[in-house]
Amino acid sequence: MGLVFLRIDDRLIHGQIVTTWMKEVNSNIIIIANDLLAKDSFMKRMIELAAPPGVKVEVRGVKDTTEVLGGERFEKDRVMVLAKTVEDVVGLHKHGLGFDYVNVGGMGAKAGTKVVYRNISCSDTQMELLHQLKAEGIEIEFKIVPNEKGMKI
Amino acid sequence: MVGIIIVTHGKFGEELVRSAEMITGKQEYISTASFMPGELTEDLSKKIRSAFDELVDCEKILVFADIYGGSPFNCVMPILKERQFQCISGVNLPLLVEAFLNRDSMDATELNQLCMTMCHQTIKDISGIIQCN
Repeated sequence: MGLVFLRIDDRLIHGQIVTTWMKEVNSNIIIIANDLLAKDSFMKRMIELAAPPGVKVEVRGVKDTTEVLGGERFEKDRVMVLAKTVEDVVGLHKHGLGFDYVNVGGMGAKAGTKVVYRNISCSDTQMELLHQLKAEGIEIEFKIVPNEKGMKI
Repeated sequence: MVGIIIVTHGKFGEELVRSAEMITGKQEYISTASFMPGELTEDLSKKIRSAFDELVDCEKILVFADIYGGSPFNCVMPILKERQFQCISGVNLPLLVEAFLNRDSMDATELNQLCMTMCHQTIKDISGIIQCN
C-alpha cells in the first residue's frame, strides 16, 4: 500500500483532527515530510513523543520520505503523509512520489496570503503551484475535517 | 508567587481566568495566549513568548494548555528547551481555581503536583451519583 493519504497542514498533528482523518482513511502511521523539522532533533523527538495513542509518527525530509515510501519498508502499511507547506508537496512530487490527491487542511494567514477557504490562507505563488499539480492530473481539495463538503480547485 | 500562563484554542483561557476570578478574586501575574482561527502556529508561539515576558518578575511559572497534542500544547513544548517551567495540559475551571488558591504558598512543582493529584476529582458523573442513592 504505502501512501494512502497526503495532507497539507502547517499545524501538523494537532488535537483530534488528524486522528479523525486517520480513521477515515484507515491509517496508523504518519510521516511528517519537512526538511527543517527533520534536521531539528529536539522538535523531531517532541513530535514523535506527542504522537496520538496507537499512532506511529516519523519525521523525515522530503526526499527521504519519497525514498522510504518507494521501498519495501511500508509496503504493507497504510501511511498518511503530512506536509507543512505546498512547497513540501511539490518537492515530494518532483522527487517522484506517486499520488493523485492532495488534501489541503490547514494553512494559516501571513503577509502576502489571502483566505481561500474557511480558515485556510494561500499566497498567489502557492495557489499557482497547486494549479500546476492539478494540471498534472492531481486532485486538490480544501477540506479541514472529513465530514464537510470541502472545495476542489 | 508562581506566575501562571494559560494557552488555549480561542479565548477560552482569557474567559477561564475571568470565571476563576469570580471564585477566587482578582489575580496578579496571570498571562494568557489565545490561538485564533486562521492564525499560524508561529503567531501563537510569539504570543506565548510575550506571555512569558509579561511574567518576568515571577521566578517560577506554571503553564496550562487546553488539549494534549493540540496546537497550544505543541507550541508550548519547544519552549521547554530554552527555559524551565512546569506545564499541564487539560486545563479546566476547578484546576485553575485550585492553582489560584495555592500559588502563594507553593512553588511551581508543588502546584503542578497538587493539580495532578486533584485532576481526577474535577470531573464527576453526577447522574451516576444520583442513581446510586
